[in-house]
Order: sequence, then C-alpha cells, then structure tokens
Amino acid sequence: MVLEIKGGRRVVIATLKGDLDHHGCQQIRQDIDSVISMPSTKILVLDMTRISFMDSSGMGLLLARNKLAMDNQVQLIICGASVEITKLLQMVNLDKQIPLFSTLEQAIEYVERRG
Amino acid sequence: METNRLYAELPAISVNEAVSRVMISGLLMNIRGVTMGEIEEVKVALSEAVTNIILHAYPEGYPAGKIYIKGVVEGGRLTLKIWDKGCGIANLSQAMEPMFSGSGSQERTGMGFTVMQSFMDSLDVRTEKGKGTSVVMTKKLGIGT
Ligand SMILES: Nc1ncnc2c1ncn2[C@@H]1O[C@H](COP(=O)(O)OP(=O)(O)OP(=O)(O)O)[C@@H](O)[C@H]1O
Ligand SMILES: [Mg+2]
Repeated sequence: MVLEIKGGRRVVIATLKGDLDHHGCQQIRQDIDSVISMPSTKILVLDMTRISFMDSSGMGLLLARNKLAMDNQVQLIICGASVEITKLLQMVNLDKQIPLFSTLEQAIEYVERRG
Repeated sequence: METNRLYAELPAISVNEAVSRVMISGLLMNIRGVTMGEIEEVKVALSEAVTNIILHAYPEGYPAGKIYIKGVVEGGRLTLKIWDKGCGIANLSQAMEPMFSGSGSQERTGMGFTVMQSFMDSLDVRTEKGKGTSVVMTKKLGIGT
C-alpha cells in the first residue's frame, strides 16, 4: 500500500510511502485524487516522512494535486519533506502555495489552531 | 583514489528508474568524504535523465529501446553519461527552459533539465533527430584526492 489514510472525514492525513518518481506517482495519483474529491474533505495533510525519493515527476504530481485541491476547496498541507525534496518544492514555488511543516505534529497543531 | 566505472544497458521501462538509482548509489558510496546529500542529488539528476528516456525518447511507433548509462569516478569527480537511440529533441534550447514540457500531460512540469542543472556542477546535452539524445553531467564529490 502506498497511501495510508488516517484522521477524520473533514481533516484527512495521508501517509505517502515509497518513491515519488514517474513509476511511483502512477500508483499514488488516483488514491490522492479520490480523497480530494470526497465532498467531506476540507483539509488534506500529505505526510512525506516516509517518502525516500522524489524528482520532477513528484513535483508535477504535487502541483497538479494542489490545483485539483483548490478547485475542490480543499486545503493541502505538506509535512516531513527531506532537505532535497524541500529544494524541489521551492523550485516550483510550491512552498509559497502550500503550508510546509517539518513534522506531522506541527502540521496537526497548525490545523487545530486554525480550527 | 582509484578510478571506478559503471556501464549499464536497461530496457526503457519505468521500474528501471529505481534500478538505475540503486546502481549509482553503489558506485558513489565508497568515495572518500562523500555526503548522503551529494548522493541524493546525483540520484535525482540521474532519475531525470532516465525518466526522460522512458517517457519521451521512444514514442508510439518507435521500437521499444534502451537506456544507456555510463558512470566514471576519478579523483573524486563523477562523470555521468545517459543516452538513448530514440527520436531526438527537435528544439533543444526550448526543451531546456524551465517549465517547458513537450508532452501535453498536466502531470509534467518541464523541470527535468532545470533540476539536473541545479543538482550537478555541469550539464551538456546533445541530440540529433532520429538518432537519439545524450546527457553528460559532472559533479565533484566528497573531499577527493
Ligand atoms: N531523451 C529524450 N528524448 C526525446 N525528447 C526528450 C528527451 N529528454 C527530454 N526530451 C524533451 O524535452 C522536454 C523537456 O524535458 P524536461 O525533463 O525538462 O521536462 P518534462 O520531462 O516534460 O517534465 P518533467 O521532467 O518536469 O516531468 C520533454 O518534454 C521532451 O519533449
Ligand atoms: Mg523530464
């Protein structure tokens, strides 16, 4: 399994696993899209702590998912990105469009503070 | 430090993205002073070139082709060549621009060449229509000798 879903119906926490390369993205894409498309979802936290690798395919995946999320009035949040992954997110300005946190705890705290 | 080298021919299928990364990690692991961060950056750059071959080099109507990889480590410097015998790139300077993708897909951001450029010390791309494309990248690793 590449995606593990936790949390409630309104706030969904998705733990991504494996490699976000072109091969890995093919498997993960539909799973994320089905969560974003659920009418009850308002906030989707993508926990990347267990993503060991990402390249431009992952950047494309996240950019396209962020667009879909905005179209569905869902707020994306990313946590647990490694140094290299953070560099890639900055290259396409995703760090300006999506709140980034080092740990899942910090992301959850942010969600709770916002209510 | 001794010279070490790697040569591989792999079918252009997506499982080989990960295969190629494992091979290059193995080659770089024993370089003196090399950091995990440096190895990660090389893995990303290699993955970009390999994925481009899988996605773009052998389009519909082209016989399924191969990914060719050559890596040489000498004096703490890696020279990495990745090439194909596919369709080539019609407009190379446009292809290398950030955010340009020749594929119509929503999922492609056109950042592959930009990522290779920023994670490696040098990038040289040659291409010929109908003959193929080659990418040569270098990077100084660790303390060298
Ligand atoms: N080996 C190749 N053979 C044929 N065309 C290529 C090759 N490599 C790259 N190209 C062309 O150059 C374009 C730009 O490549 P680049 O890697 O920068 O972006 P991309 O692959 O389209 O998107 P991304 O890498 O961000 O997913 C590609 O869309 C493709 O048209
Ligand atoms: Mg690419």
